[in-house]
Amino acid sequence: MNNRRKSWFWLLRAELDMYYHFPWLEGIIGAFITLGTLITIGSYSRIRLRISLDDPLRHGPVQVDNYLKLLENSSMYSIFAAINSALVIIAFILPIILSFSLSESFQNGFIKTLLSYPITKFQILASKLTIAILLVSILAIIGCILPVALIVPGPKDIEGILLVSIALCISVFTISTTTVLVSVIVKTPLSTTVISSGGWILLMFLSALQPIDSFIRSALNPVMLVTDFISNVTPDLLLMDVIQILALWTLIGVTTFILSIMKFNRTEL
Amino acid sequence: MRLGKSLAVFGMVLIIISFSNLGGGGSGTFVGPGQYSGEWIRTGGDFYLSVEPDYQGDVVSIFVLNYDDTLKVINSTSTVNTSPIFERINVTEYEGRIQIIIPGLYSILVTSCVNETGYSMNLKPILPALPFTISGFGLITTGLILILMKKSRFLEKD
Repeated sequence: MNNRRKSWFWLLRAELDMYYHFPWLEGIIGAFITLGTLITIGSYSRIRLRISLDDPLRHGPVQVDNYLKLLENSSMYSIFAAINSALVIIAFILPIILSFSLSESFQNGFIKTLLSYPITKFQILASKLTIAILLVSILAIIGCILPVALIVPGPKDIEGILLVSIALCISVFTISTTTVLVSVIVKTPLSTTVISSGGWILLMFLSALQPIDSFIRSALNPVMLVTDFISNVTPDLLLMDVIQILALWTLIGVTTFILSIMKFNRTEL
Repeated sequence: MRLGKSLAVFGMVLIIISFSNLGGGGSGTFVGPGQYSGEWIRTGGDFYLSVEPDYQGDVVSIFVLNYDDTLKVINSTSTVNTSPIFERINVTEYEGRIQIIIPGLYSILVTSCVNETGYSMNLKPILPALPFTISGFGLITTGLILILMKKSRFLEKD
């Protein structure tokens, strides 16, 4: 048990040390996304205020409740905007990092070196997945969620934030596992990047297209699905629908990961 | 080493962003006796405020209140039981820096005790925005520490 834990730790450290990733590219993309997030937050951060003694609708406890609701909504929209931006970073960068890490390991023989140690193929895939998710999550947190935490004080709906965060985690998991499957099948970094990153960006783009039915659009993007549900943008959307779609996304993630392991086990190195 | 580099790059990005003029802008409307008009603002620090009545000679009163005091004013339509962070009573115009010690939700309220008057209000953030600058420097320091730790480990091995 102790040896197994040691081999996991060794593998994760090796991945972190030798990982192929692009600090400057990450920095530039992060800068754009952070600026985009800040501009979106800026549009929610100033709310008109009008109080009048003569008008009973413009003062009193009811008006206090109205403003509290307005402030909570504007804080929530800022946070949702930030998490949606984080998903765009993840959908773009995570496949790049994972593709290069996995496909390059096939090409330069690093996988063979790893397999000469007492570690399993499952451990190799899982460690690559863990480190990629960790790196990209740090990027997304610094680029999107940190600015929001720094400048969006006021009332917030904690349950809503939790639900959107769960949706983000499920999306990250599914994006990673499908990229791993493509990498194991295609085995060349550039093709894997184009297929995975391009595919996810296309899906995000489709989920933002107005002519497509709002229910289908929401189902294509779990974060948008939960955001729409909480903000009541799609009135037909029920909690059961949200749970079912999130469960479907999780199932896709788990299935693709199992398929990746099966394909990797069959691969001749 | 690479994680350190990434953190350092992000720190730099945050410092650059701390100089961007986001959250500023102008607004304006009419206000009369018994009325307060203005904006809720989210701010991380000090900002410049300028308020100017539309007609020369008109006077307005300006208040900057915290979240709780703003709710009191909405409830009672009076600033009597509040402790404004900033107030100027019956001024023909105002331009200056508003000091904010704790980041959070604040309101800027304008009222006229004499007659109905129009006014224009302009907000400008003070750059660099300190929360971003501090976070940026924090990330650069963490990144550099990680890079140096890695380098010293390589040197020890040699």
